[in-house]
Amino acid sequence: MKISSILFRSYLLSAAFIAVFLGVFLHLQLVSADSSGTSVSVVNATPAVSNVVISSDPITLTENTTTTVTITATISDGNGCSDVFSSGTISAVLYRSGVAATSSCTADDSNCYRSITLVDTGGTCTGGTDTSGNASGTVPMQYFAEATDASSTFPTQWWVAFVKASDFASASSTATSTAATELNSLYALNITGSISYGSVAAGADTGASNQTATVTNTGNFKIDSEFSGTNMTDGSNTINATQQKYATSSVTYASLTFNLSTTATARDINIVKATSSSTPSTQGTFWGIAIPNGQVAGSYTGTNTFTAVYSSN
Amino acid sequence: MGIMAIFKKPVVLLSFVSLLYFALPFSAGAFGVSPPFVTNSRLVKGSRFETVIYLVQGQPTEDLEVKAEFDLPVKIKDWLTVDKGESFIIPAGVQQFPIKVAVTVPKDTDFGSYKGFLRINTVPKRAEGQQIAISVGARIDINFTVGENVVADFNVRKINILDVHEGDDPAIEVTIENTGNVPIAPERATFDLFDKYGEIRLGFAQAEDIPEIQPFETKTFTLTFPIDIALSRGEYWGSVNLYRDGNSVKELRTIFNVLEKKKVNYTLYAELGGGVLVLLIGAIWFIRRRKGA
Repeated sequence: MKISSILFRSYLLSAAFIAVFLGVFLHLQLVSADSSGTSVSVVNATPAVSNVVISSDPITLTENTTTTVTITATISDGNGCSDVFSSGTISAVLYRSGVAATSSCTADDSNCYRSITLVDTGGTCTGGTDTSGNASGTVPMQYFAEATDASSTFPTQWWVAFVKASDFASASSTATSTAATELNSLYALNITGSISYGSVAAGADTGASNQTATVTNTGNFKIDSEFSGTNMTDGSNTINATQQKYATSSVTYASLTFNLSTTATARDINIVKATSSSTPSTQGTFWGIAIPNGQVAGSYTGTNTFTAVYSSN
Repeated sequence: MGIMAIFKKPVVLLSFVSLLYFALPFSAGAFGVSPPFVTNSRLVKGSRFETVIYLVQGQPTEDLEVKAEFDLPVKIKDWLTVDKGESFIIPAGVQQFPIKVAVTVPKDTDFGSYKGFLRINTVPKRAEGQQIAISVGARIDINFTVGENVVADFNVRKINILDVHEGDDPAIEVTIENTGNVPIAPERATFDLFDKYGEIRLGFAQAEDIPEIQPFETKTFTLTFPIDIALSRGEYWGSVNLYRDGNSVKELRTIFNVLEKKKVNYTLYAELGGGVLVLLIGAIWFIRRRKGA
């Protein structure tokens, strides 16, 4: 067989293959064209909020300052978690359960913290087809936030975190924490001022020159105070603690209400808890001393103790 | 009358320096306790109850020495203890310092209600020339009852569905507080598995072998749910229920992740295997040599 004949037959065979291939290709294209006539509308999915947790539980406050409380929640969205974490918003309200049936409480550092923003923690929403992520936000709770434990004014209530997630299309859903998170009572005080009587003659007292120690309630419950003191000493010489007297108003030594004792003694000074960080709740205490006749001269020192205790009235 | 005249009389000198030094108001000390009580009405003979109390201070700028002093009826004086002892230091920088107060009821005691106090007070450092140092503190009220009623009760404080790896079974972490006076546990826990949209139920499993929690203790543990489905990587919804007396006492429905399968560290195994082989060859060589000798 001549080479030209072989080439010709190869040419024909190739042409046939190409024709078949084109036919199949065109058929597929037509089928494909038919398919491309359909369309799909992806509707917006509403975000979901779950596993809302308040940390820590119970909440323990720190006297005279704020304590950071963390709210976490799991957020999911069928359109992808980025629809909420990047294009939407996640917010929370932290409140005592008795102040509102839902989250509609009025902002108050004692019982309702609003406008808490939650964000992705640790890059848990990775974008793309990832539908969920963990959100977290913090709130500085004031030392006077209301307690809900067994000995508090609200023993049948607890603190609730309400979390709302909204996506780009403003579709939203909410959830609240399921654990009954308690906030513990805090008895605390801060003493400002000093007790320094200076020089007093034997047989004399401090008269109307009182020393002032101001007691500030730095907890979240009304308190009284116990008072006690050591005998004042200078070497082997002693002035009994009972020579010191105190009262909640500034009067002369003779009129001061209580003699100091070495045994802790509770006094009704009824310092209510603060309701604002800018207006602390305080009570002044006024102190004087009488030096017995014949007391040996010297520099006497001692320790007076103020102890925060439960106030029942 | 001049100062020298005063000194000629029997005068108690309470330092002029201190008058100047302490003329302006300053914080002599601040302190608090939370919660301020040790309360339990469910104790029985032989019970042990422990609670954590935080000693708090807003400005812990330096180490603070404190004293813990019980004020109790003689009968119960030995029943209460503080884990840190009667005197200890709260380090600078610590705003919330935990102490554990324990009540141990003897087995041979009487029924009754008991009250007392625990006072926690600071030990002030006296400044130069200071006449009266001021100690601050707070009182913890103690109130408990020893009775004979058996109380079986618990509180689920926390529950969480854990992320697991491919091939693992679903698992939860749960924290339970036994509020009664006998050991207790939930009777069972169930787990419903759903797809990533929370719509299609993929499986169900339950756990019955839940560890008991001792009276008045709080315990955190993990429960796994053997499930027929091999979980592949991705997101799933889970719904957990804890049961007591046939009723669900706690429910959680949330999303969790199945992560990439844990990779086997072949390199480590190869290194370990190689090491063992070398030791084996060495041992054989050593034994043969000794026999030959």
